Order: sequence, then C-alpha cells, then structure tokens
Amino acid sequence: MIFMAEYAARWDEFEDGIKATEEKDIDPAKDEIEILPILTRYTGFTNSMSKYMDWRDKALSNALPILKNESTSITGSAQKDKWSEYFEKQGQEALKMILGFVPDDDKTPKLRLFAEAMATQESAFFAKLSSIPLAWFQGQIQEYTYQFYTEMNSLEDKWKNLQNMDKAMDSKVKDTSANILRLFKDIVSELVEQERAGEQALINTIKASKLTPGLPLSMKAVLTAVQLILSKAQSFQKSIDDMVNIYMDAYKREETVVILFAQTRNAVREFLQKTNLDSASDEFEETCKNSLDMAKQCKTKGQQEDAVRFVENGIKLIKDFYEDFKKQYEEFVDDNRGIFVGPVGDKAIEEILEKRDMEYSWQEISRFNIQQKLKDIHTDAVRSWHVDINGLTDEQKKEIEDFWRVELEKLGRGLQTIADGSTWDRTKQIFTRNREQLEDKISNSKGGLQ
Amino acid sequence: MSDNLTLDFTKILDETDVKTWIKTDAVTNSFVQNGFRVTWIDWDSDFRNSDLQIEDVIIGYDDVSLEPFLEPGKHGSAIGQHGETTYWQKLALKHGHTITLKVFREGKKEILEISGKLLARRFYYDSEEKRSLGPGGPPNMLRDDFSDAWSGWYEKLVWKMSHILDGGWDHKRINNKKELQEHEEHKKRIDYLQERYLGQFADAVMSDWQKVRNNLLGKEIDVVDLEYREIGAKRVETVKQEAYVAWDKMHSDLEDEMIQAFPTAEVDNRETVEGKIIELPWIGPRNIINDLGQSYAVIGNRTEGFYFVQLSNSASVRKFYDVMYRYQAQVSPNLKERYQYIARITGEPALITYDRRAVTGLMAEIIAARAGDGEFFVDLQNKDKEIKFAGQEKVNQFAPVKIEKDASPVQVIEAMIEAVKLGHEKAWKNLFATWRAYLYWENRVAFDPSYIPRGSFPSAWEQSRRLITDRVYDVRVDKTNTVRRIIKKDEEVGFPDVDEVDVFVDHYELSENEKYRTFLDVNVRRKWTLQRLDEGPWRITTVQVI
Repeated sequence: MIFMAEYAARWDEFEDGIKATEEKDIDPAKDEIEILPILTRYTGFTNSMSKYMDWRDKALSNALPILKNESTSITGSAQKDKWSEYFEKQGQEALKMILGFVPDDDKTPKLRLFAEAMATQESAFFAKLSSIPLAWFQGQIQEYTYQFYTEMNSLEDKWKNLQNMDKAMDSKVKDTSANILRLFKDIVSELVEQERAGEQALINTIKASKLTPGLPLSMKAVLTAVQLILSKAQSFQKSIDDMVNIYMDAYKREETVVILFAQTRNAVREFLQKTNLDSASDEFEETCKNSLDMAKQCKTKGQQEDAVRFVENGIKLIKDFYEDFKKQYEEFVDDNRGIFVGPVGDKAIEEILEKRDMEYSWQEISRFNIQQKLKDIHTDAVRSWHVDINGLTDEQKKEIEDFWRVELEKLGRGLQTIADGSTWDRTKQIFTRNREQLEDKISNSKGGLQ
Repeated sequence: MSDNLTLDFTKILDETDVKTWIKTDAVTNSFVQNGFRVTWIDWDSDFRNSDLQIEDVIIGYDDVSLEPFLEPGKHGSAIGQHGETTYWQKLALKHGHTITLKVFREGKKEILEISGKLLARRFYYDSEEKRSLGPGGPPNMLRDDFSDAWSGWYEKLVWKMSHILDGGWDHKRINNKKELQEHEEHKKRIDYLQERYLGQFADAVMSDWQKVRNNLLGKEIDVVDLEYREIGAKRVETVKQEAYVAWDKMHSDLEDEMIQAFPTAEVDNRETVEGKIIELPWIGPRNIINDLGQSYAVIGNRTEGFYFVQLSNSASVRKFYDVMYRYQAQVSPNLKERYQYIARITGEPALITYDRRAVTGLMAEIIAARAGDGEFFVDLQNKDKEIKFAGQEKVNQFAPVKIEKDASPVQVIEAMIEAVKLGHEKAWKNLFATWRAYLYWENRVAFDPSYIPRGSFPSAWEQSRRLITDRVYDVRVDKTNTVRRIIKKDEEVGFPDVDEVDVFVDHYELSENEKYRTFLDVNVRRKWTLQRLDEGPWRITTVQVI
C-alpha cells in the first residue's frame, strides 16, 4: 500500500511488522480452514492501520494551525499548554484506536503483542511531539513582539512627557531671561535718569548758592537722588534674586528630567540586555535545533522521519513570527536610537537642554554686562557730580566735598555690591557649570545596546 | 431415632462424596498470584480448624498445582468450585483424607501450607428428624417466628458475610454503615438460634456474625491531630488579631518619620520627603504593571501624584513574598490579592507607563506590608533575624509537604494526604503519574506514555478539600499489597518496566462517642494504585477524591 499522506514514513514499518507477525501467528502445520480466520484478522488489522495512518496524518496536520495562532494576548506558556494538551489527547486516541483494532479473541496472540507495541510507540510518538518547543517559541516570540510594540509606544510617550516637562521649564527660563534683560534695561535707564537728576539737582543747588551768596546749600534733592538710586538698586537686587530662584527651580526640574531620561535609558539598556535580536535569534535557532533533535529521538526511523518533516513544516510557520519580531525590534531600535538606544544624539541633548536657547539667553545677559553698567553709573556719578564749586563758601565747599566723599562712596558701594554679588555667580553657575554637568550626565548615561 | 441417625444428629450417606467445604473464586488476571481465592469456609469444614482465611489464594494442594484449573472452562472441578467432589471422587479419596493446601496470602513472603480433611457431605437433623442446618436444628424449612425459613435465611446471611469478608472494604466499596445496620437486623435471629438451637452450628453462626460485625464497625481511635483543620478560619483569626496589633504598633513606632502620603511631593522637590515613611492605600492586581521588563506597583493618581514600588529585583519584595507563601502554607492558602504597604520614599524619581500613559512619581521601598483583609502582616525591617509574619509564633508550624525521589508507595500516599490536609494543591498534583498503564483486555496491559490527567484535577482537589475539612477527620494508610510488575521492559518496543501496587487507606469520621471511627462509602476512596517506571519514583495512577 502506498500512502500519499504528508507523514507516511511510519507506514512501511507497520506493513513490515504486520507481515512478520502474521508469519509468527500462522502455524504451518495447520490446514487452510484454520489459517483462514487468522489471515482475515490480519487483513482487517492492516486495513484498520491504514485508516489509522490517515487519522495520524490529519492529527499532525491539524496541529500546525496552533502555530499560526496570532494574538496580542498570546503567551509562550499558553501556547505550550495548548500544544501539549493537543498531542497528549492525540496520543491517547492513537493508543485506544490501535488497541481497538485487535480482534477480541485468542486466534492471533502475536498480533495482539504487535498492536500493543505499536500503540505504545504511537502514544510515545505523540508524547514526544507534545514536548517539542515550537508552540512555546511561537507564543514567546509574539509576547516579545507585542512587548516591543507596546514599549515602543510607551517610550514615545515617555519621551514626549520628558520633552513637555522640559519645554515648560525652558519657556520659564526664557521668560525669566527676557524679564531679566528688560529689568536690566529698565533699571539701568532709571539709575541713569536718577544719576542725571542728581547731577542736575547738584548743579542747581550750587548755582543758586553762587547767585545768592550765603544762601545755605539745599542738598535735599541731591540726597534724594542718591537715596532713590540706592533704593532702586536694592529692589533690583531683590528682583534679580527672585529671578535667579526661578532659574534654580527650573534647573532642579531640568535636573529631574535629566535623571528620568538617564534612568529610562538604563531601563531600556537592561530591557534589551534581556531580550534582543541576538537572544531571540539564539532562541529561535535553539528551538529549531532542539525540536529537530527531539524529533530524531522518536522510537523508530519512520516516526523520526515523520517527526522531522513535521518539525520542518512547523519551523517554516514559526519563522514568520520570528521575522515579525525582527521587524518590530528593528523599528524599536531605530525609533529610539540617539534617544534611549545607543549614545545620546545631539538632537536629543538639544531637545532636553535647549542648549542653543540657553546659551543665547546667557550670552544676552552677559553681553548686557550689568556689572559694568552699574560701575559706569557710579563712575559717571563720580565724574558728573564733581561740579565746579568755586564761588562757594569754604563751609559750603566742605559740605559738598563731604557729600562727594560720603554719599558717592555709599552709592558706589551699593552699586558695587549688586554688580559683584553672589547672585551673578549663581546665575553664571546655573548657565554654565551646572548645565555642563547635566550635559555630561546625559552623554554619559548608558542606553539600550550600550 | 432412626437407625441411620447418629447420636449427634448427623448422617453421612456417601463416604466418597467429599469436599473441602470451602468456597472459592478463580483469579486469572493477577500480576502477583493466580489461583483460587477463598471466599467462604463452611461452618462444618475441617479448614475452620486451620489457619486458612478468606481472601487466601489456593494455588495447589499436596504436590498438585491448580494452574491447569485456571484455563478457561476448567475452573469447575477445582477446590471450592461446584464440581470439586467429582475431582476427589476421580482420585478415590474418602471422608477424612487429609490434604495440604498451598496458599498465597497477601503480605506473606512464603507460600503457606495449610492442612485439613476432606469431609463427606453430612446431613443434619433435629430431634424430630427434620433436616436441619446443624445437628439438633434449626430445621431447614422451619421459620419459627421469623419471616422466612432457616435455610433461606442462612444462605442469604452467608452470601452477605462472604461478600463483606472477601475484600468488602478493599475491592467492593461497600457502605459499611449501611451494611452494619442491615447486619444488626440479624441479631434477633442469631440470639434466637443461641437460645433455641444451642450447639456447634449456633456457635459458628454467632462467631461469624460477630466477626462480620467487627469488620463493619471498623477501627476506632481516640485522638486525631486536627491542627490542619485550623488552617483557614481559626488560624486566620488568631493571626489576624496579631496582624492588626503589629500594624498599629508599627505606626506608633514610626510616627516621627511618617508623613501623609498624598498629595505627593513634586518630583523636583523630592529631597524634601526623601527617607520619609508613608502608609500607602490598598492596592490590587490592577496596580501591578510591567514597564520595560520590570514589574512595579503603581500607587496614586494623576491629581495627587504617584508612588512606585519596584517588585522585581527587590530584596524586600522577595522577602515579603517568601513570608506570604509561608503564611499561605501555615495559616490559609486563601489570601485575597490585596496589598497595603508601609514604604520609605527613596528620593529617586521615576517615569513609568501606567494606564497607557507615562507618569512621573517617587520611588518607594516597602518596609512592611499586609495582604488580604489585613490578616497577613509582615515587618520587613529586621535584617538580622528570620522574618516572620505577625502571629507566626502563635500557630503551630507544619512541615512542608516533601517527597523524596525514592519514597515508598506508603510515603507517597501519606504525602498526598498531607497535601490535601494543608491545601497544597501543587504538591498534591505532583504526586500523580504522567503516564498510564492499564488493563484493557482480560489481563493485557496497555502502556500510554502520552497520558496526563489534566482534566480530572480540579474537581478531585475541590472535593478532597471539602471532605477533609468536613466529614473526614483523618485519613491513614492501612496496608499495602505486593508490588507487581505489570509490564516488563522491552527496549526494542519502548516498554519500560512498570510496577504497580495498591495502598489502602482508612477514613476516619467522628463517631457518636466522640471518638474517631473508620468508614467507607461511595464518597471516599480506600484503594490507591501507584505505579513506577523503571524503578523510578512511585506515582498515583488515578486522580480521585481522597
């Protein structure tokens, strides 16, 4: 009998075995009438076994759709259970079926022994197939694929989240910088104005004294100008402090963003250490190898051949899932390269630290050179307030000289304090060293595949 | 009195009409010993005076093997069978001839030799020469004040007593209480027999009746270790009280370090709460998420902020689960998947995907936790000592269900009973075979290596647990029979050596006198069959209720 079935290698063994057993069951000494029922039983058994072969072929073919199951909720262990249960059931069915083919009498005792052996071998054949890891891998690789898909979306969201956190902070910094510059300009123009007002008040006072000798010097307006300059300078100091605190807060937030970014990169690194293309590829190779090895461990050559063919067909199916994983994996890596995978790219650094904007802000602030401007105001005051005092009484001259000595010095000290204060150091540190540290932290963080 | 009648009201008509006066059943498909199993010994058989017992298997007598009698169609003239007399007559043996039976008895290594006389058929009469069951009566056909004649009654009684004594508990799954009730109904007639027809027959009947009664009564024990029964409600209650006390104490001990958990500090201001301790709200499985291959408990919401507890790769979480599994083994396997943590804020921010959106929050490490409805609490802070759940010392400890590879069948069954008592489903499942060798046709055995009894587990487990916590107070191994090799190794075919053995267990229920007594009915299984492959570990072959 020739079988056109896909998995028919086992048939030859059945046929040969039945033939050999038949010879053992037939006693040559017996006459034809006695032999006939034995021959009938063997013919019946052979026909039944050919039906078994059809059933077996279907049982194997029907297992393959398990390897086509596709779902986002599929798991390796669930697929493994499904596969094992299927084959265990087929094994039990095969055993029952073959034992059921043996006639319920003692006319063919050898045939019974043969059938028992075949039944057990076939049950063992299905038991062996039940432990082949193809379905487990098929489920597992889908789990990986889905995991990479969801993590890719998650990371995209995380990246957006980090950017949003950073954007809110960056715009705050930009606003603060613009406010500072505006404040600088306003304050400088106000201070200049007051300085000029003071100068004018001084000129007017001296002029009045010269026109009316003996008239006491009216220094109130001049002193008010000095007071105003100092008070403006102080409120300016406070505003600057407030703004620097905003910088500090923003920096802290930026530092948090950088920590979260570095942390996420590390998580991606650990994630990819566990599951990556190499490991999945190794798993795939190993699954194929183990499955083929297991197929070759089947009891008989025919079973081995059928099992190998079956496994080969199965491998073709699971390969598609492996390819899907590869695609998903590569998409994941490509999408995240320069952000969470590999060294951090300049673009990502720029998006987190807004380096150019920050540098521009700092340049604007430093270019404005408020320290110098304050010093200039003082220098200007010193220079312009040294008006001609000829024509004044000695007493008035002394009063003016005392004013120059005391008030201008006070003014100088006041402006100097602001110009040289720790505020500037802090601002400078935030814009320079601290930001360099953040950049280092980002650059030194290890991401996926590093 | 007629001439033929002896003084003891006994008459022998034919000295060659001899028998052993025992009854047997042919055993043809045993893997241990085929032969003829004794199912009854008549009251006047000479073997009543020997050690022969019901359930003994006669394999021969003198130098004669009974094997040829086991062939189909040949049973009839064997010892204890209907045509036994014909056989002895062919050998011309007469009344009083002594034979020595070769007997296989379960549990004995040697074949026993038991001697007795063949006796001729005896006819018994009463004083009025009426045919009787024994010398002096009772007359066969007389009813006295009972509903049926003595002969009919006795025949039925013997049938029933044979049914019970011939493996009633082991092989027939009798309902012993029902049988006992029926058996007790004969007491009146037995007493009457003693009063009215005192003699050898009445004594034998009384003795048999008593024997059967004792058999049906079962065994009685005074004490059963019922600690396992406290797994569940009682132990939970004990431990729960301790858990609540420990929970409150922990709060008062940590009062200075504790802060309100919500709203959380901003992640940028995490240094303000670093090291502080918080009590987190109850969480369930929905709060457990996986993020980039790590699992976290996410606690909080978008309005008030989030805390994250890393569950994977965390030493404290591992400890928590270890202790929780211990609790489930020792106190109750039922613990709701609800958890509440007391945690220390690490000061580390984190960005995690929760509910499909990336959220930021603060990392926290658990220092104590409770589960279920608060009945389980563990303080994880103690680094030096073994960490125990609250109340652990208040409940006696059970040894875990363990089984060695070379455990005997009895040990396997004892482990099975222990697993059912302690509620260890996984350990219980592991004791069952992942193959099957079974009789499929007469004495032919099929070996099915692909068999796994998956489907039967859930109901067998549930019913077993229900029984052991309700009607059944204890299950103990009673006896085991001889290991039999049912399949011989054949590497060419792929058969392993398959050995099989039966272990019989006793089920105890609470009796009226507050003691514990064995019982048997359809709800429990006394016989447990185990097999092993190639002398590997013994495993139970059938998934069944305890």
